[in-house]
Amino acid sequence: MKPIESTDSDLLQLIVGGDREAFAELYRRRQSNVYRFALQMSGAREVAEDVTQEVFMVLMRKAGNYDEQRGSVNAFLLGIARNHLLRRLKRERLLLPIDEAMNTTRGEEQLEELSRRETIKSVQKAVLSLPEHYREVVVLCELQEMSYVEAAAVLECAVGTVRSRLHRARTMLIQRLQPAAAESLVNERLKSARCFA
Amino acid sequence: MNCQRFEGLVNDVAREQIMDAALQHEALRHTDKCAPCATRLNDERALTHQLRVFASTAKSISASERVEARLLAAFAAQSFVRAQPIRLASETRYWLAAIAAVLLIVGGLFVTRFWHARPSHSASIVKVGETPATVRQERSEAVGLRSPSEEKIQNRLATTGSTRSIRHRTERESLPADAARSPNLLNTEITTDFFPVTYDGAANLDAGGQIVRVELPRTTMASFGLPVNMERADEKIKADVLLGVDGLAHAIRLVGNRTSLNSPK
Repeated sequence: MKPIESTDSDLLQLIVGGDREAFAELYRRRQSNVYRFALQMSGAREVAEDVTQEVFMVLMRKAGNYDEQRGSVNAFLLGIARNHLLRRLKRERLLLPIDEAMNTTRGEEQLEELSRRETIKSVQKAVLSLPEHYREVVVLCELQEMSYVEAAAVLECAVGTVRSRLHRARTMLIQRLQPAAAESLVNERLKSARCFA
Repeated sequence: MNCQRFEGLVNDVAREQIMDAALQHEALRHTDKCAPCATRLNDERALTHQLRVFASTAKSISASERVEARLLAAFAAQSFVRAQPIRLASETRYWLAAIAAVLLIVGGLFVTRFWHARPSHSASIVKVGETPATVRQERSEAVGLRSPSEEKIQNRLATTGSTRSIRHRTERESLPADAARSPNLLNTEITTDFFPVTYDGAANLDAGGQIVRVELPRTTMASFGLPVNMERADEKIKADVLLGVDGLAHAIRLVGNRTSLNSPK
């Protein structure tokens, strides 16, 4: 019987002992992070599901490998996800088109929403176009809102490396998003001009 | 603050990271004086905003339920597999115990045979190669003449019984002499000759038969013409019953230690 407010580490201990409920609880708690990381890294829902499944399959077999000193359970899971994802991306040279799964808004779309969606699409495109080691830092620090220390635990590198990669990645994103931003600004001006015409 | 120093801080300022307030103030003052750095900060802030919008759209995303179902099924299967080695281990232990038991039995038999084959007893033991006739001859010399049915029973025993049983019997017959030599053999089992218990005697014994050890009231000895010690009449005495293939008793012999048979009174 697990405690009412079990930590991730407690749940892992129970999983090592074969507790199915603990496994289900940890899955429900952490699958979203793993899935989002995989989706934002790959841009493909199918890949994200496969990776999520793989991560928790590994957890079943190697839950005992977790070392609390090296980082949180979330970082442990994302580290496994990263390894699987990089292997898969390398094998398949995968850079899939943007998945519609991220566009959750339905119904009558207003201009603002359209603009927002365009922004989202362009950001996603830009993120996906980054080299993997820059992309993962952006996904972890910007999209998953992890601290430099947590990201460093996932990537198994120094905090300074995370900082410098993020700096470089952001600069690249700005460069890649500027033409789109400029284009959208021109479009906005044209619309205004038409309205006043 | 110069532009190079500002470049090192611009990310943290744009991302609103926790930082030294004085340092942040200094960076912002620098943008007031330096237009390129101000543009750089604006670009960074715009990017932060875009990334946050993008992140917010993905916050509710999660893997489909079928992934969870597959994983839970796999976990259950793995728990079963994890339990398997324990079952296998117990099965292995069972077979090891069985093998050990068989080895003990075989070892025990070997030791028993070896003990019987020791030189002190070899004189009274019939060797494997000896013919039943030789055995019969030796026995008749030892126990004297018998009735035809007794003779047939004894012949049957000699021809159908194993070498081991012949050895035992011969040993038993020679026990009194051995016992005289060694007081330790006084409690060794000795037997009488077989007494036929049916009229046809050993008529059916050619087809085979077996000896069964039973316990009888001591008074049974009287029915075979043997004296009975009435003080021990309520005690029991062991007997070997010779059964034919028809399941009927054809002959019987009484078994006991030297004391009980030699001094039944």
